[in-house]
Amino acid sequence: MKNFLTKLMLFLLPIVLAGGLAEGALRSIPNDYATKAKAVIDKAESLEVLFFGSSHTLYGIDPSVMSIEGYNLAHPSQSIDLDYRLYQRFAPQLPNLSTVVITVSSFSLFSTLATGLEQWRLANYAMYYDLKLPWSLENQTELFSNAFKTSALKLWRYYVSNQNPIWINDFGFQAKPASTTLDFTESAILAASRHTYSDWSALEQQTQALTEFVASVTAKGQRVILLIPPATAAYVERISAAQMTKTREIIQGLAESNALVTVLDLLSDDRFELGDFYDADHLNQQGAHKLSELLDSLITTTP
Amino acid sequence: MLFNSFDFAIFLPIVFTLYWLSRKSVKLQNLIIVISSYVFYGWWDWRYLFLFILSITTAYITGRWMDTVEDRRQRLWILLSCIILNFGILGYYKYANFFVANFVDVVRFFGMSLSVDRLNVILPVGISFYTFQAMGYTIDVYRRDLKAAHNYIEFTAFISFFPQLVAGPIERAANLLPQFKTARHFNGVEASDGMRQILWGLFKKVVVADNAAVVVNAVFANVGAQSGSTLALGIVLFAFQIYGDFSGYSDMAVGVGKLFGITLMKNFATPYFSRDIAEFWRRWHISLSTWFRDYVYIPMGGNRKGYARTVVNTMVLFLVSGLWHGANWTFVAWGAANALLFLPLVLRRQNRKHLDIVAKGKLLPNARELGEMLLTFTLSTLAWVFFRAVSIQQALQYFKGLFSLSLFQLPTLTLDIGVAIFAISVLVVVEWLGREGSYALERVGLVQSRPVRWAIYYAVLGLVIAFGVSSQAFVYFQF
Repeated sequence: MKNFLTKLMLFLLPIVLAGGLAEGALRSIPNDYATKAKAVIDKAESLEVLFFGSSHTLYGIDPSVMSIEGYNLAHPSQSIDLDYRLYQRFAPQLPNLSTVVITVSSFSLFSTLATGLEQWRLANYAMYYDLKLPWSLENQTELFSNAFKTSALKLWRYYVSNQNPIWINDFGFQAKPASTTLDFTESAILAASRHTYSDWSALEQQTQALTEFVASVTAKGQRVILLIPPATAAYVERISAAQMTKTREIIQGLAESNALVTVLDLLSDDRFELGDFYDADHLNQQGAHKLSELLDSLITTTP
Repeated sequence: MLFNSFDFAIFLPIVFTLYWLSRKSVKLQNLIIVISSYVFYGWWDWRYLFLFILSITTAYITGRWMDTVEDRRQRLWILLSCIILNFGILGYYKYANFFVANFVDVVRFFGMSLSVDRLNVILPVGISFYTFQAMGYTIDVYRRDLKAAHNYIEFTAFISFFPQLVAGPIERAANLLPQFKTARHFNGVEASDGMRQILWGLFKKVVVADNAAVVVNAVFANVGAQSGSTLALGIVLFAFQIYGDFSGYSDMAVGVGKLFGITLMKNFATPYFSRDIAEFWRRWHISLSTWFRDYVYIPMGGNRKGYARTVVNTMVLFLVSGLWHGANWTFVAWGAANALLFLPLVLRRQNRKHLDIVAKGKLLPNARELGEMLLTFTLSTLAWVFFRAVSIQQALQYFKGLFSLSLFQLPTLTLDIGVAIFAISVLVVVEWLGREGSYALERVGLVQSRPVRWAIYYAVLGLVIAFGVSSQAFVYFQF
């Protein structure tokens, strides 16, 4: 028995050591999650507005063009429950926070990151935001949350090719180029199919998260803007009408019951033209500036 | 709990440690096996443990009861009541919706209107496996081939031994039960062999099967849009997916068994190196094939009662075997297709032509052997279309697309296909070289030089880490 266990340990030792080294090396690579977590703390004293949401917010709102001090805390596929947990994590450290902008897209109330296609992103919230997640190697480590190929590429790009892994600016915004190579119709078909849910089992949980989020913000006297982000007509025509109706019903209900809550529905707003979009449902840099100025105006002019 | 999960990586060392710390007491070791098997099973859904315990207890009581009854007719009634209860449970969970749906279809065919809601039941994991294992035992006791177990814990350990609980091998009481009666002594060589077999099973599952599954799922998701050549590639990859998945599980089960000093039966013997369908069926899912042979085919007369009965018995054997895999006509069609391939051999008494391993002692097969293997692989792979299709209509659509002119086009090649083909190539080469062993990597254990042995292990492990697709459930769990 002793001989067998010794041999087994000896065999596994290099693997465990290599795994530990790789995990350490991966965690040392700068990334958007760690960068944002640090930035919010660094700017804690001055931050007045926080922007939450998924890629629609990440690529759509650039606080650097605003007259107020804001930070974009969105990440791809970030769901409302995580928005709320990030707010809970940082709000006590932000003495001047006055407004919270929560993006509610067509899919926001019907999906969670934890059960979606991009659930591998969840570990980033545990590793870099210190959010408590159910314990599993997939939820707590770089190595196990990503495919081997992804981890190997990350290591190669950073340590060998010296590529910069940070895409966001100092305000948490990531700019998208003018347009994708897909045409808008093709991109709308793909996005609408990805954003349409036949299973509405997440609705209750996400509605509850949003309701608690709004209640928690307004209880501190802070203002909430519930934003339905702009999209192309090709996308709007194809997304689930039932999901949109339900989404509007829920956020209007929240606004009607609380004077500190405003709904900004820009889904089909004609101030946004095709030239403002990167693809069917994401703004490019020009569109992001337009949306950011619009939000700035709303936040600064409305009492 | 999946073998390829982190949960199992924690569970196994804990059970292993407790088990060997208790090596002085067989009773305690068996109790640890029973408790850990219940934890293993309950990890999926603890509520179904009660069903599992019911199956074990009825088989145990039936065995004890039949042991005391000399009258064969009376024993038969006891046996039948146990079989009806256990197969009744299996039938309810696995086939009730299928039979109800077909009954409704038949009623509607005759112009009558009938609407019945589907039963809202989940198929308990491994129910087909443990039910067959328990029923095999009761039949053996009925036949007086086996003395009934007189120790409930020993008997429970036999039915519930966690490595083989949810996807086999379907063990025979004559092989496994005595092993729980005697003291087990740790054997380092056997344990190392078990680890080696687990490693190879893991490679087959997460590298071969799961990478093939990515392509196969995409092909079957849109059969109508695929060229004949892509469909051909899709079904060949499925042949390796199902083999890698199931034989990988079996290898891991047998390997884990060795860590506990328990020898489980071999379930696969390089079936794709078979020279005819009969040989294929002697090498594929051996524990189920022999179960049906011993408890269904031979009692019905096998091939000893003339051509007509042989045809009937063979058809019954394959149709029931097909239905065992799932409540869908596709599985019945898969069974029927294999029966039609098997029948000519059994009727011409050619079904036991190839009892040895192909090209034994040689590096390569001769042209004839190669041709026979390719033909057998092609035929068995064509039958897999029924097995993988979600409906008979989809299977027919698959064949229509497959046998079209686009079969001669180059298939669309993607990185996923490249990875799957690479994984399959490694599998075929290693399994060919190791085909005379009880599993492909067995002979690696005989290599004298430790650095060479370990280099091979690290290479396999490296492939598992680099190309492994994590946490895909085993296909055979649903059966």
